[in-house]
Amino acid sequence: MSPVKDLSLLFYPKSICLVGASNNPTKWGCNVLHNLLMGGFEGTIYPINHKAGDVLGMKAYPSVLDLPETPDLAMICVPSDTVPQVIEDLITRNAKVAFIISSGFSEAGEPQSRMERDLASRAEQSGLILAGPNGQGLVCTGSKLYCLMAGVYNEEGPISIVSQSGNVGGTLMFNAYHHGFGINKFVSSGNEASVKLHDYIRYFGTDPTTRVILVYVENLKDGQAFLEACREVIPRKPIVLLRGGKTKEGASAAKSHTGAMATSTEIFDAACKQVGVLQVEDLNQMFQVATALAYQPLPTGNRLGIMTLGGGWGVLASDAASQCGLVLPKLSDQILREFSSFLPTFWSRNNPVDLVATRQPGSMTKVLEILARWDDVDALLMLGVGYGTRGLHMTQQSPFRDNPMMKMVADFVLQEDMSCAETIVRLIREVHKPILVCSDAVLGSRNIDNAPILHLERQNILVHPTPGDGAKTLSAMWQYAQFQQR
Amino acid sequence: MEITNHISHIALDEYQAKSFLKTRGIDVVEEYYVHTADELSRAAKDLGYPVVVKGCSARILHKSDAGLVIVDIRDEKEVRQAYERIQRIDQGIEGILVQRMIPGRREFLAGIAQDPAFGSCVVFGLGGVLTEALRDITYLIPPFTEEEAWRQCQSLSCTRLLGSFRGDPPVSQKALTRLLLALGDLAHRCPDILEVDLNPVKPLGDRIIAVDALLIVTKEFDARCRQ
Repeated sequence: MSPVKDLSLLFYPKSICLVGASNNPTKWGCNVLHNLLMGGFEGTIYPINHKAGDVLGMKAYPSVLDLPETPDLAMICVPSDTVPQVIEDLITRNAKVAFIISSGFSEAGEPQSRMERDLASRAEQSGLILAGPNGQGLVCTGSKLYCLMAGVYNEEGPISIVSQSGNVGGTLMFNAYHHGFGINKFVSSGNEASVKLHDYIRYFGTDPTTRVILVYVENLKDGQAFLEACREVIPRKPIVLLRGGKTKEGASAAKSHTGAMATSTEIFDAACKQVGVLQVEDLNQMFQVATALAYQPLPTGNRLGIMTLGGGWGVLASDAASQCGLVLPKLSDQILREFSSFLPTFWSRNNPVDLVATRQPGSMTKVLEILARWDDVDALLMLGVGYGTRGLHMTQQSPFRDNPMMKMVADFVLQEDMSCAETIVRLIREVHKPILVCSDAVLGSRNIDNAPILHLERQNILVHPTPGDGAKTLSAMWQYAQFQQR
Repeated sequence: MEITNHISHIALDEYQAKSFLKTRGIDVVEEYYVHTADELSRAAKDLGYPVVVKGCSARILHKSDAGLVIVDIRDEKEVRQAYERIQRIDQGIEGILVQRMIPGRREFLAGIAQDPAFGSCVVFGLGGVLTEALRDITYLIPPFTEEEAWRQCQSLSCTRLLGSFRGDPPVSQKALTRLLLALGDLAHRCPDILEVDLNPVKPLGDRIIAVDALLIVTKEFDARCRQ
């Protein structure tokens, strides 16, 4: 296998030139430069504009040939027919890496397709690493490089994204941002004229700051190279993949998008399964699986313990879990005795452990503690954290809110929810088992002032909206654990 | 169904296909290729009844649909009737195949297919008449390991058919993975092989046997074989 393509200058440049930098906010050359500045990039930025002058308060240069030094990274944002000359200039300056944001290449058909191929082979002959064209740009939080058409400024985290759609990658970035999760790198790979999906995957595989790799794919140009890359990386890092264009309708939308030739869905799915790529169904699931893999310990088996604050959630979680290959061991006599010593007599006496809306102080955390330390389970699902806290809105707005008993109940509920959230965080560290949390409290917008949920997210524990989401995420973790072990 | 050979593709007849696959480590059913009724009855006796008699031609991809497959033939009289029937349906038939009849109800499909992104892939799944109705198949992209092959087979809905099934013993894991690895090797090394369709393959003791075979190759492959 060929050596891994060194993309470090793409993600960690000390100097960048932006060809097509502009003062005009209706041009992407203004937008990208603006976002780059806002992101706080600490290296040198050279705006290039053929009319020169100043761009966003910085001195601009008429061409690459006029720069005082050869920049580590050249971002190109000019009309496609002028790109070949820019590439020639960069080759003259012995530049190492260029990223073409401009569209109007193979996605537009012939003869632009030919122009793209010619650029790729010219770059490859000259040792210029060429990313794009038709890519939205890239982000590397570690180098404060936010060189993207979309303005999103995540903090640093362990998840890296390569996406054949800039917007889809952007959705993942925004989702992470809203939940307070970091991102490591994001690249919108565009048409992949020269640097391909598998090159990014292999680079992320060797990148010490990336722990989880997310891939959005529509058009797999070289299936064999992609599988080889996955085989190389998966024993060390999980790859979570979302594929667009599975249906005839989707594929034809993709064709005008990145120029995709459809592989059969059956073969693609089988190939992912064969090498251990975790294929997800949508962006929500992708984000949930990614954060769990990034921040929770992997399960060492498929035995699941469920604790629920309501019967139906437990039933749905059990169904979902058993449908995706997880098993629910029966509670041992000893566990039964322990729980019976403090739970109401009518508790479920079963896994899922249903606390039947008990309001005994400390019983939630006690059950969690015992279940997590039980040797017969490898992972836990906790259903309903933050449920009580959500109810506080009602008491706060109630005409009876001054009733001292009602106040006492409200305080109790918040305290119980908080100590449950704190216990989850502590137990994950102590017992090294994943504990996934599901709660309908994250549905809708009011979760924002739900203290227990916020506490969990600050500790990088994502709260899944439904019991099925939690079970599916856990199943994906178990799938990966089996590939990592070998 | 008649096929006209494409400019670049050629279909081999069942006997040629199996003769080639045998040399690549694929277990095929014991059979004779004959032309006359006398040859046929001698061959049937030699194999031992019951036997299956088939018309053999590269022109006909779906022999059963054309009435050219006669199964469960139990004596010489039935052999001669089968011969006459095939002659009646297709007078110009190139040859006749007589095969040992493999007992058992479980039928699988194995083969090689092409994909625009992954190239030559190995296929395995539920065979026989249910293949098209249920489409319970999986793929393996070569090169792959024995362990991957077995895991992929277990992801099928029909995976229970690989275990003990209604009195029949489990399918030999070793024989099945050997078949898939042999196909994988072929797919990986011979880009001239465009399609292999073994349907059915049937488990028998510690074997898994290709009962029928279709092979589609490039013109180049065909030319090399004829040299």
